[in-house]
Amino acid sequence: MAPTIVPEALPGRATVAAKATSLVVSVAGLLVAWTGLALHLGDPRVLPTPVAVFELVVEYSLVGDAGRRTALFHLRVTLVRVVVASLLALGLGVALGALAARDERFEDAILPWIPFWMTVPTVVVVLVTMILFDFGAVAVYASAVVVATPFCVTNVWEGVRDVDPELLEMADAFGAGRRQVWSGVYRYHLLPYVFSSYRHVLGIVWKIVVLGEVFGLGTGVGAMFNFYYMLGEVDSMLAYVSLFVGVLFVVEYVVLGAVERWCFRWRADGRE
Amino acid sequence: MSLSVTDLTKTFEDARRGNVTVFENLTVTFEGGAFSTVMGPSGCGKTTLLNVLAGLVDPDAGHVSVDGERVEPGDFSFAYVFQEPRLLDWKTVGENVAFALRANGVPESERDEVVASVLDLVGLREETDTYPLRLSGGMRQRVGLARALAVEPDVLLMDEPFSELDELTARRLREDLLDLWQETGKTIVFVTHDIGEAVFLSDDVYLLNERGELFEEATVPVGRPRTFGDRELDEVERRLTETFFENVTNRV
Repeated sequence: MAPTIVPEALPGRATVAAKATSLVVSVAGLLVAWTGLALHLGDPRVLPTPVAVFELVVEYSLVGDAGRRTALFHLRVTLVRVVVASLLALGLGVALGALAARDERFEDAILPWIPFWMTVPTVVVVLVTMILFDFGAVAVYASAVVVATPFCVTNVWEGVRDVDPELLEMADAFGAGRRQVWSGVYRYHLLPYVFSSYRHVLGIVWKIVVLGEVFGLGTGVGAMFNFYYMLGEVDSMLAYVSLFVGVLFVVEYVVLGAVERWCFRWRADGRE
Repeated sequence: MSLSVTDLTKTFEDARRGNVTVFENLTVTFEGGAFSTVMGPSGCGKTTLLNVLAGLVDPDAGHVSVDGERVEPGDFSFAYVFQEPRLLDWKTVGENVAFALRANGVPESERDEVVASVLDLVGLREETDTYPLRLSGGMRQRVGLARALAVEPDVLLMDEPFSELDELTARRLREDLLDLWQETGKTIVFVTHDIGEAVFLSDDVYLLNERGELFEEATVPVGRPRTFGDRELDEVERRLTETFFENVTNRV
């Protein structure tokens, strides 16, 4: 059976501050190492300095590149694709996982396929869907669903089965109906499983979207990687990578972090 | 409202021990408005008895009656207080109480008022918006009690609700429970393995042995309010302890 991410407890405030410090130190370390290596090599066509790359980031973001589109346009296109594809995979995964946990026949029909789907190389799925869907954006969504959904299914399936039977008995003793049990017990119990699934799905989907853009789409960060790769412009490629990584950081630590803190606010500052 | 089980038989399948009979033809009646306690060693079937009454476990044979009328198990006005509070940690204290109200079909517009009044009763009004994980064990058990009282049951089924608390907190909660019982006049069926607790709380004590057989129905002839360490209570406890050990030999 495929491995499952076990939901973790949220770090307290002190841990968050310590983590932020570690992050800043490691980013600074990377920039120093990058600068040192670039200066040592002394050839901006092989490895430009971070400052030179940053200047390009600003230029592409404000002025626009060779295709007369700004980098922010391509980033937005990629981001929208990622959000749509990851939510599709997550939604389908949660629905199928919950169904599998509730219906034995459905479970028997769907679960044997999971390890198979999880072992097919991502790049193969992307290439096949690209051909099937004529190198359009739909191909990216199809790849994401095929590759990322199985993980969600197993995670949510195990989540439903792990629900505390004593809480279900309590709900039963008070006469709660099926709908109230789902909305009051399962929904919250499954949130950590859904979050860990989404983090994993997002990791997969970023790669799939960029791969799809490299292989066949005319817009998006991946298409720009491909474009500048063909021109042999390492500095432009690094400018796009930097922007891309910046957005990943914001999504992970600012957006997802805030949503997670809000969803699990009941856990913080336990007195006992 | 009196409550009884008649000729109750229940057998569980156990992977290691095969079929385990918990009760065989058990008949017991709990008087309306009385505080009745079922006392017995661990594993004697005390919780199963409550679960049968609540309709959470189906009996193999036998039936439940309310005021002498036969009813389906669980098909009467009751609420359950569990050994662990079994709160929804992701809902505030008020929302936990409201969960039971919604389950009981109380309209949303009336819930806030009921929540406030039962939390007042158990002294937790100020914690309405607090999440359970920020409360002490005793406070969480009070929330469990408030949730049960909120649905205005005729019968309270209580499964060792104080057994996981420290003695000081448990004593305070026992006294509070007696006050609430006397205020509301509900029928209480309480389960415990603690003879002292059974005697202090109850009008009637029903003793089960390790085979789930009822071997003693005792009345506690001590007036209320009662105080811990009262000589009359101690005497009843001593007598019941003797009877208990005469009848319960194994696994104690």
